[in-house]
Amino acid sequence: MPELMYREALNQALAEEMERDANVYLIGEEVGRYNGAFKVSQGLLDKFGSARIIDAPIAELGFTGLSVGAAMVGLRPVVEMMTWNFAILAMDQIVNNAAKLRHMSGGQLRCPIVFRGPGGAGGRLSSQHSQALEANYAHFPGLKVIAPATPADAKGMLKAAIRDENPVLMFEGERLYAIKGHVPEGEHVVPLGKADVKREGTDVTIITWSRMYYFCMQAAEELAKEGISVEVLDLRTLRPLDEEAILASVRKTNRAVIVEEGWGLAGVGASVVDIIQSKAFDDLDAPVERVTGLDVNMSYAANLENATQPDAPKIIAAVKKVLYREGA
Amino acid sequence: MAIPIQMPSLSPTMTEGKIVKWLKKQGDKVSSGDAVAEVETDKSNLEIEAYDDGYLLQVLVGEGEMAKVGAPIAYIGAKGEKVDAGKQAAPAATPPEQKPQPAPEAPAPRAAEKPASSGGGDNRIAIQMPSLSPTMTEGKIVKWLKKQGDKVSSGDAVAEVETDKSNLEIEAYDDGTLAEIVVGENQMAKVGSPIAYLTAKGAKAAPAAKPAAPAPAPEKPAAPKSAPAPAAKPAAAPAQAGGRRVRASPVAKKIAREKGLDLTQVSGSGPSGRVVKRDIEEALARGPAAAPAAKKAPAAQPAPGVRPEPTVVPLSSMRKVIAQRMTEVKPGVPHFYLTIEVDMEAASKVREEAKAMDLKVSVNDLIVKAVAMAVRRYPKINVSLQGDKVVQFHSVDVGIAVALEEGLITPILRDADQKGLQAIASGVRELAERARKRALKPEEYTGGSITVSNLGMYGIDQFVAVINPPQASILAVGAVSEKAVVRDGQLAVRKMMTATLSCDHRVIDGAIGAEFLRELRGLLEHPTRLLF
Repeated sequence: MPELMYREALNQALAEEMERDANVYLIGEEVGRYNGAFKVSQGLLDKFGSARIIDAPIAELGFTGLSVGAAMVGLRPVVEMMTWNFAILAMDQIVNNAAKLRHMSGGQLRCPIVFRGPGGAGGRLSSQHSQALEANYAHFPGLKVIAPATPADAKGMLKAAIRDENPVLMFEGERLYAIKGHVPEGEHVVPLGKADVKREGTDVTIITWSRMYYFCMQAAEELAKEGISVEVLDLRTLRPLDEEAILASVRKTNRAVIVEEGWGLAGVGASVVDIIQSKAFDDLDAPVERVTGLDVNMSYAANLENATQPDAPKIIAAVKKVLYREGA
Repeated sequence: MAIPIQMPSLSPTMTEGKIVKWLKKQGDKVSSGDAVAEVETDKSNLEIEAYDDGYLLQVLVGEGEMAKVGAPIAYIGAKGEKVDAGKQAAPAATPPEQKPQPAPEAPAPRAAEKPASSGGGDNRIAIQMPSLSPTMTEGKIVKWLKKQGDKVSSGDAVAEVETDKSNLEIEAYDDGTLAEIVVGENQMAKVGSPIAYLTAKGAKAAPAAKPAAPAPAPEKPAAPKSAPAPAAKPAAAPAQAGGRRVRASPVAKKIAREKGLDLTQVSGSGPSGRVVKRDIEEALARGPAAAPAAKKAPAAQPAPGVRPEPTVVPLSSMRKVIAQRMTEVKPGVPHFYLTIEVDMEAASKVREEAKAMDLKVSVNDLIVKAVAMAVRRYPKINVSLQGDKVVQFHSVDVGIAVALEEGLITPILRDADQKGLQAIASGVRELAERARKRALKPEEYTGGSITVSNLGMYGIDQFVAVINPPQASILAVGAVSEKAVVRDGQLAVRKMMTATLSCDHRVIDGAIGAEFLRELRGLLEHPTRLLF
C-alpha cells in the first residue's frame, strides 16, 4: 500500500471519481492552472480539461450557487473552497439551498454536491484564516459533515461524498495536507457516518476528529508509558454522529474526553457529551471532559496560536482528570 | 339553607376585623346591599353589606369581638330556619377580653361529638386527646387505665397522658363501655383527635370502625437499635447511608447494584470521596468479607479509626416546646438587661437565724420573697403584652425555674408577696418536687408575674436569662460569694450576689426595671423590710 500525503490522497480520489463518472467536475479558485492553492488538484486540468476543472473568480456565493443549480439538474459538482473561512460568503447557498432542496421539493430534486476545503489553524494565518468552523454546518439538517484525519480516510471519504446523493461538506485540516499515510489503491470507499476506533484501549476513550486526532494519538502514547490504556475514537463524520460507536467505546472504558479544535460553546463535542450522558449515564465513572480551542480569536503569533489550541499536554491532563489521577 | 356572612377583606393588609356594631339584629329582615355591621379594620371603620336576601338568623361574632378575614360572622336564611349545629362555632380571632391567667380547669373538651366516620348510626362516643396546657399540640398515651370492654363511668380516669409539661389523667365524660382504643400506649395523638371510642350505655356495641382521621403515627422508639438490621435487601439502592448521600459514579452504582455490594461499605477514592469503578473492583477483589452486602449491626465494635455515629434521640415533648418557644421568644421579644450587685450579708444572717430556729429557709426563698414584695411595690413590672393589649396583673405570682432532666419548667408560687418566708420555703419546695415528678397541674405553671432563675448553686456568678412569655421579665440570680468591696472608703469583704433582670422592652422601660431592682436590692440588703 503506497504511502501518500493527505493532499495526494484527495487528488487520487478526485481523479478516480472523475474518471468513473463524467458528471463529476471540480470548481474553485485556482484549482486549474495554478493546480490548487494547496495542490490538491495538481495535474487534474491537464487530465480532464477546463470544462471539468474550472477556475472560478473570487466569488464564493456565485460559483457555489452555480454548482447547486448544476447538482439539481444532474451534475455532481465538487466545490473547492480556498479555505472554509471564505465559504462563509457562500453560506446562504449551502445552508438555504443545498441543504433544503430535497426537503422543499418534496423529494423531487436532489443535490449531489461536495463542498470541500481546508479548515482550522493554518500556521500563523491569524484569526480570519484559522477557524475550525465545522460545528456551524453540523447544525443544519440536510447537510452531511465529514472531517477525515488520515490520508486513507481522506481518499475513501471523498469518494463516498462524491457518490452521495446529498450535499456533503468536507473539512480538511489545513495542516494535514502534507501528512503522510498508507492509502489503499483503487476502489477504496469509506462509508459516511461511521466512526473508527484508531487505537484500542480500556481506561478512557478520547473522541476526536481531523487534525486533533494526531495530538490525541501522541497523548495516548505518552499515557501508555504510565500504564494508562487509551482508546482513540476518530469520529470522521460529524453529521450524522456515529452514536453506536461513541456509546460502545464509552461503555467499555467508562470515561470520555472529547477533543475539538473549534470553540467549546455549541461545539460538536457538546453534542457528543449529550449523547453520552443521556444514553450511557449509568456507564460513566466520571464526568465527561472536553478539550477545545480557547474561547478567543486566533492569534497570529506562533506561540499564542499554539497556546490557543488543544495539544497533547492538555489532553493528558484531561485524561488524568477523568481517571482521578494525581496531577490532574 | 343558611348562608354565612363572612368577614370581608377591606384592605390589602387586613387579616382580621373587629365588629364595632351590628346594624341589624337577629330576626331582622335583610336585603342584598343592606349594611349589616360596622367593622373596624387595621385602617378604618367600614360597613359590611349583605349579599343575599333573608333574615338574620344568627350573629356569631359579637360587638367588640374580632374575626379573621373569611370567617363567618353571621348567618342569614329563611325566616325561622335553624343554623346547622356545626356552623355555630364562632371563629373569634382573639377573645374580646383576654384573661390574664388562663386556668384550664376542665382540660378535656366535651368528648360527646361523634366522629364523622364512626360507622354511621352507631352510638359510639369519641374520647379525644384534650388540650392540657396552653402550648400543648399533641400528647402521648403513657398508659391506658381501662381496657377494651371495660365499663366506664363519667369521671373515671381512662388513660394517663404525657403532655409537654406533665403527666395527667384523662377522664371520661360519659357512661358506657370502652369499645375501641385507637391510640396505643407510647403513641402520640394530636389535640382533639379521637384516642378511643365509648359505646353509650344501653346501646349495642358497634363493630370497631376506624375513625376518619388517620391514626397518628406511633412515635419511633428513642432507644438505639442494638439488634442486627433485619434481613434487608442487599443494597438495592445503596445511595443513602444513615440519611447521608453516598457519592458514587453512575457506573460504580451500577456494578454495586449488580453485585449486591453495599456502597456505604466502600470508601471512595474519587473527588470528595466519590466511589468510582476501581474502588468497587478493589472491594470485590477483597472478597465478600471485606464488602459485606448487609450493613453491620450498629452494636458491633467500630473499626479502629472509624468515628462512632452520633445517637439520634427524638425530642421529648417538653424539649420540643422549649425549642419552639425559645426560637420564638429570643427574636420575637426585644430583651434588655439590667444588672445589680446585692450585698447579701444581712440576708445571710436572716437565713442563719432561721436555721437556729430549725426553719429551712434558703437564699432563694429570701430572693423569691424580696422579688414578690418589689413587684407589689412596682406594679409596672407586673405586666404582660398579649396581642395588642397590656395586661396588668393584680396578684403577685412568682415563677421558679426548675431544671428537669428533660428540660425546664417554671411552677408558679401564687400570691408570693402575701406569704411568709416559711410558707414560701415550703411552697417552693413542694412545687419543685412535683415538677420533678412531672405531676404539676396546668394551672400551676401557667400565668405568673415574673420568674426567678437561680444558678447560684452551680457557682455561676452572673448570667442572663431568656424571658418566659407571656411574662415580661425574668430575674437571673448568681451565687452568693465573698468579694472585696469598698464600704465607707474602706476595703471590706462582703457576701455579694449578682442579679440580672431581663425585660420585655415593649412593655417595660429601663427606668421601671431599674426602680424595681433598686427596691429589690433595698429589700435584700435590709431584710427586716421583708416583714412590712
